[in-house]
Amino acid sequence: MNKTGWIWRALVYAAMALVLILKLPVIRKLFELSLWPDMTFYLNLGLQPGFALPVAGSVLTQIGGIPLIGAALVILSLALLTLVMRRISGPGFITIIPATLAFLFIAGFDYSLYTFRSQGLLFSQTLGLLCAALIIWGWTAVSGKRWSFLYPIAAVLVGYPLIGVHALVAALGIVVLSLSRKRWLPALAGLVCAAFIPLFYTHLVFTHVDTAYTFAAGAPYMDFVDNHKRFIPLGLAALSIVVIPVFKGKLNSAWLASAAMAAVAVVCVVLFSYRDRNFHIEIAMQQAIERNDWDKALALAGRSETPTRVVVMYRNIALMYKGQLCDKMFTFPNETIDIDTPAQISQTEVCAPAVFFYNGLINYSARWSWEMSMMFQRTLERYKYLAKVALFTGKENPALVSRYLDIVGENLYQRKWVRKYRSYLDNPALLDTDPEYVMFSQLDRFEEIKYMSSAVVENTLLSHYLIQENPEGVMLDQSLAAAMTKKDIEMFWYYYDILLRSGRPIPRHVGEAAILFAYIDRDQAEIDSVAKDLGGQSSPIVSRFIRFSSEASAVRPGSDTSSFKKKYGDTYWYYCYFVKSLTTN
Amino acid sequence: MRKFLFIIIALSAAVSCSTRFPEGTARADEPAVLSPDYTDVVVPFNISPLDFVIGNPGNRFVTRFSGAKGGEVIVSGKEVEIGLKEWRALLEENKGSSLRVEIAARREGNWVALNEFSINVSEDPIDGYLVYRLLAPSYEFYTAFSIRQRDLSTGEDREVYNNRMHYNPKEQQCMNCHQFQNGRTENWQMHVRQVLGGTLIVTGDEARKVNLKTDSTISAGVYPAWHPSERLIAYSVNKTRQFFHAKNIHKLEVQDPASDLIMYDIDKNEVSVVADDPMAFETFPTWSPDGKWLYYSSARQPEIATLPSDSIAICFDKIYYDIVRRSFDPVTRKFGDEELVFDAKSLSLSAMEARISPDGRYLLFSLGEYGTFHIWHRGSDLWVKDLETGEVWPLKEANSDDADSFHNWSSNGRWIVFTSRRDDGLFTRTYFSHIDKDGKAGKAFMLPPRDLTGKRDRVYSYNVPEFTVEPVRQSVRDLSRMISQPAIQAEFSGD
Repeated sequence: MNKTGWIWRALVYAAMALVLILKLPVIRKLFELSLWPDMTFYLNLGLQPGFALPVAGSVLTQIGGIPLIGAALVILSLALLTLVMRRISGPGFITIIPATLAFLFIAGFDYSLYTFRSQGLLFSQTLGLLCAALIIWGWTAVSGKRWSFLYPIAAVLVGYPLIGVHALVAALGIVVLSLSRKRWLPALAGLVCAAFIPLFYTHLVFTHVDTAYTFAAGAPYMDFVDNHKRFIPLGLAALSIVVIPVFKGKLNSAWLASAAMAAVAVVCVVLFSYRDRNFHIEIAMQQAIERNDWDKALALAGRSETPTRVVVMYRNIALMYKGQLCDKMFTFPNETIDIDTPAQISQTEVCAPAVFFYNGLINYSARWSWEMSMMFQRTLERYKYLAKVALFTGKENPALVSRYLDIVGENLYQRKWVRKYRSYLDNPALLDTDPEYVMFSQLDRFEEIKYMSSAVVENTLLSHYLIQENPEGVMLDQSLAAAMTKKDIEMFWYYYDILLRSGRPIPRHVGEAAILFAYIDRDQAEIDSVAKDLGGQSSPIVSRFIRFSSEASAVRPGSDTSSFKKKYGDTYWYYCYFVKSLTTN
Repeated sequence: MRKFLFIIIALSAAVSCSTRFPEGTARADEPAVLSPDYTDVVVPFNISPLDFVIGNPGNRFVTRFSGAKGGEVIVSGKEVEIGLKEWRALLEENKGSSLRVEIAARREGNWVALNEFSINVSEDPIDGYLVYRLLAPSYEFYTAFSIRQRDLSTGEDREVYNNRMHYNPKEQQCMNCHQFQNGRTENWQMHVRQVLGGTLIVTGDEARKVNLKTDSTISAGVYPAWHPSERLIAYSVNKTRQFFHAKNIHKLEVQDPASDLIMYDIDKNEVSVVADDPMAFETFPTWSPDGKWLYYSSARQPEIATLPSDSIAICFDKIYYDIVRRSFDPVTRKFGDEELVFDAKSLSLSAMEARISPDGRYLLFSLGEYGTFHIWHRGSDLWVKDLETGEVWPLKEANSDDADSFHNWSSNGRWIVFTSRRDDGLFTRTYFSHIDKDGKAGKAFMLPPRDLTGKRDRVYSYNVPEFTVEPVRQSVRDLSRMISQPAIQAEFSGD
């Protein structure tokens, strides 16, 4: 064995740590999408085989609520897995393979994380693999005994209820190891146990469980719907735990082999981690918005050249809070793309509770918080929105607010948050000092309306703002922004007139839209009138529009518009002409 | 291990035996704050222990239940958990009488007595079981919920069926509207929607899954009503829509832009029309105990019924259902003309879910401001009509400021079960109320939560509570197998 093995291992772990550091907001998101394990939840659903893994995984996810601690815990759990594999298989470098694959499973979390049904997935599968490895290690210690054939029986009998399919992985590991040593009885016992004990449990003990998933219990079979490639690293990790022990003493890596394998591992860690830019920006933006850090949210929005509509909606929330919605919304990129996922995950699942909440449609925020709690899992984030909504309506029973706050308070690192909102419950006058409530009070000024569905978040919002009659203040800004976004000229003029009557200054993009729409209407009187509203023909907007219109008329369909974008990409005119359609998936 | 357990049990018994109620304590002139609130309620003598948590301040608590006819139970602690055996003995001894409940709280080294209250013990037994649906308040989506059964005399709670038995990550399975013929579990039904959808009809040892949707009816069967003696089930068929209020406190409106009534003949596997007046919305059927009348709710509003669906949606708060009935001849299987039983429309109110008491005398219904789905209407209350005298009154002692609805009679007609959102405005809980021979209600009490702190139930709703006199006979697996079978298509009979 070469003495530099630890260097290569350290290199691989450093790569993992680096990737995790880049994903700290994702770790925080996984914390917000978790809940301190509540045994009543499991009792309500009926205990399922493998139930210990989501419980333990949730505990660790909660502890990892401070993302750096979370990242450290992930690395620690993977290091433990490698350590146990080294105990089983000796010092060969291949012992790092299960941990690398387990890491790739975690680092591959994409948009599916919004729809996870399994709890504590950041840790649960690594823990399951670790338990499987520990069981195999235990067997290596007793394999020489005459009664060693009892070991796999006991392992599956005890292990299956607790760690589900991972106990079967361990049993298969024992089978393979026994076969390699020509120990037929333990191999047979392991095989029979793995095949029949789960059936015994699901037919006689866990009678409320769908038997179709007997051999998947404890694995996240409910997740990654239509996105099965995400299971590949996990499956390979399990396979490696079964197979690697056979090579004990046979693959003590040479220096070069170790270096080569480390390089492959590092490349895999970097290449196969999920790196979609918008995915990471969206998560960081939501976190910034929830901290009311509007500048940070806008800085993040500027990092995506081709944002998703989720980024656009978050950006508009930040601009609204800064009072710059109609001044700056088109200075950011607006050519949007769909969210990057092979699974059927919609923008609703990604952002509905947050976007509806910050746009004042708090009933819908609560609705989607519940829908997703039931469809996927209850989470800290969803309970927080439910608590805030129940508090903000001012009409709910205080017992309901208190119930939600109690649940939030059971989670780690939430004391301050709960104290703040409980103070509002005890003294509602304090609500008037809350910036989110102050904004909500302005956005709540609309007549009651009901919708069949609010399943497409942005459409619902745009429709909502476009049916407002005589809106004022922020609501008027939102209505103007919606009319511009939808390129709805008729409604734009309606809200433009209200704006003029209000005597407020005309925001930049509203001025741009007004002069453009007057031009489109080919109404000279209207053009003159708008130009006057904007400060005359020599005003910056009007004079720039004159240049724009003459240059735009020279642009041929299909021609390169990049230079045009460079000049006018920060205007409503560019959006109106060259940004074609909304992608509201 | 056994020895260890024995020592623990013996020690616990010794501790509980030694609990004494502090006598001669100063009165605090402070009402007891209990969760659930069991102060001054009327309870059946065969109910399981009404455990509660004391919400008043104090370091230690002792609670004494003293029967007017004798017997005493003393429990220490803030969480008052009463032993099943001693509770039942106390209630048995005090049938028709009352329990006096005293609570002493230890504060700053002194014992103080909270205001006493009583628990009135009725001689009227309640049915042995309650079958209910346990779910969280989602609207369209759900992954996990179950139908459960509570043994009302012991508190034992078991799962009847859960929708994860046929888990499909892409499509959910919903089940609803479990209903039993005459409160017995030999014949009953439930619907399964989406995955393996159909109506499961259990008759004795047989089970059949049926697709009740035919080309001539607007939907599969929805709200069921087993005929009390025939192998017939009346159903409403509803085209149902949901609307989500953007700011209304009600949040959700469930509306039927079209609904009719059908009857399913189990032996013939035939569906026939009972009521399909295009000018009216008919729903929530129920039979009189003698099986000679079919009661239901009907909104006869041609000015709305003739509108397109979207326009009907706008009129959601202008739709008022009356309670009507039709005679039924079990021999000819013919229905008579519709008769008005309760005119809610003239009051600009809406009456739903007619339920006739087993003696045929009282009509129990929920009355709300408008519409059909009163569980989402905060103004909904329970009302009773005396079918002999025509007198109508609200069940004031049972009602609350929040939605009270979805009610049913016990088999002896002395108890009603209903759902209420009085605790927090969102999560539906099951309540019972005693109904005396004059149709007057006693103060309602909550079905004891499944754990004393209420943690297990705090984000779950109980709905569709149905009394049964015996436990459901099938296991979860049995039902799973029954649901796995393909649905048989019901035939439409135009007769």
